[in-house]
Amino acid sequence: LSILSRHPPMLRFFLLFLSIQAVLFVLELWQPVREAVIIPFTAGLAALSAWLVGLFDDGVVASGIVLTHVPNNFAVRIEAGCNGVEAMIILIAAILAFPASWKHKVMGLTLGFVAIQALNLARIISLFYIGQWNYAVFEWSHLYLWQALILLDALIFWLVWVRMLPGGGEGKSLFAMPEPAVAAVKVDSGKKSKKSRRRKR
Amino acid sequence: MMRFFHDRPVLAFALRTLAWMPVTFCLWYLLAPWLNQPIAWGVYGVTNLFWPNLLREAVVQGTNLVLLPNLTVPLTDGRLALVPLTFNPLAYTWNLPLVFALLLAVRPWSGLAWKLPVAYAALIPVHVWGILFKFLLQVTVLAHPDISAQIGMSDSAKTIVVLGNQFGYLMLPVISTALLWVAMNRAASI
Repeated sequence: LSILSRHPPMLRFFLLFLSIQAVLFVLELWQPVREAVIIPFTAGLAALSAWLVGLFDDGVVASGIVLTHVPNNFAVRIEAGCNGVEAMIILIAAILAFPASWKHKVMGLTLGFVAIQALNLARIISLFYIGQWNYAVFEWSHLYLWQALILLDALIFWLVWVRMLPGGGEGKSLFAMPEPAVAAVKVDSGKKSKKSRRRKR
Repeated sequence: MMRFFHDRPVLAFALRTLAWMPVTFCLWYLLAPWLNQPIAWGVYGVTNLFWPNLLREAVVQGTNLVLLPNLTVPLTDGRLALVPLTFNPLAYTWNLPLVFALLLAVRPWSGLAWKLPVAYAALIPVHVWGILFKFLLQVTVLAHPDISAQIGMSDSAKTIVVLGNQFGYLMLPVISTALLWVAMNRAASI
């Protein structure tokens, strides 16, 4: 706590990060949101996975959130935790809590959505085939490995996004910076930091 | 090659993390019987703190955690039996090898001697939460009404158990990983 009190921007980041996550998580579990957003979105993922797999394997069909391999009747159901929504919640909270312009935030959210869901499609499709090959490997990949990889994807994307912000590349670590330098990663203050760089030269 | 990665520190960091993950995941799986022991103690302690004598035993068996609640199930011959419940703690602790890989991927290495044990200790309450709520979900919501009635939990409390279980499985491992890594690397370059 003493560390946080000496770094108000960091405290602000942590508090905003946790608050946004809490709100989004409650929204995710709220039945009307689940029915109107989460389940249709997950069904869309299943349909997109079936379409992608159909490019090289025509025995796959999607029905709701279930992906089935017709020749051997193997099926996977895309449940909460496997639709990338939780990783998106983390990324949304991290991007919204970070001091940056709305333009950069929207750009980060859009590209972050693509980055997470692209890898998530790879997870669904790979698990679909791993499950048909070896159930023990499927369990390992499903429960442990892919969880870690999706979270790593969100974390790496956030780091890339932070470094791409105006002035973001100056500090090697946001949280290592003293308070004025943390403020320098804000877009408004980014111009100042460029000026100061010129001054140094 | 060195210059290529020097100019792309996030890429280099991501690759180092990926390189460490097979090592940390193998060690995590092999050492699970020992690493999960504090989780067993935590689940046992917290459960009996809030519901005295609800848990008779919490035992690590290989990579699993077996909980023996003081809840009886009637058998067909009229006798009563205790039913042990088996849980897979690895489904909650997968973030431990990830945090270790992330910490090991940071350059330069600094303070790893305290960061790794502190990260392990900091994640124990997160893992206890996950398994505790899964256990409560099993015995209060999913179990036969005759069994769940022995705990006497209200409907609103059961709703909290359901939410706590979702939070402990879906969000807590993710949030704790991100927060721990950021908090421990404020002073490090990636």
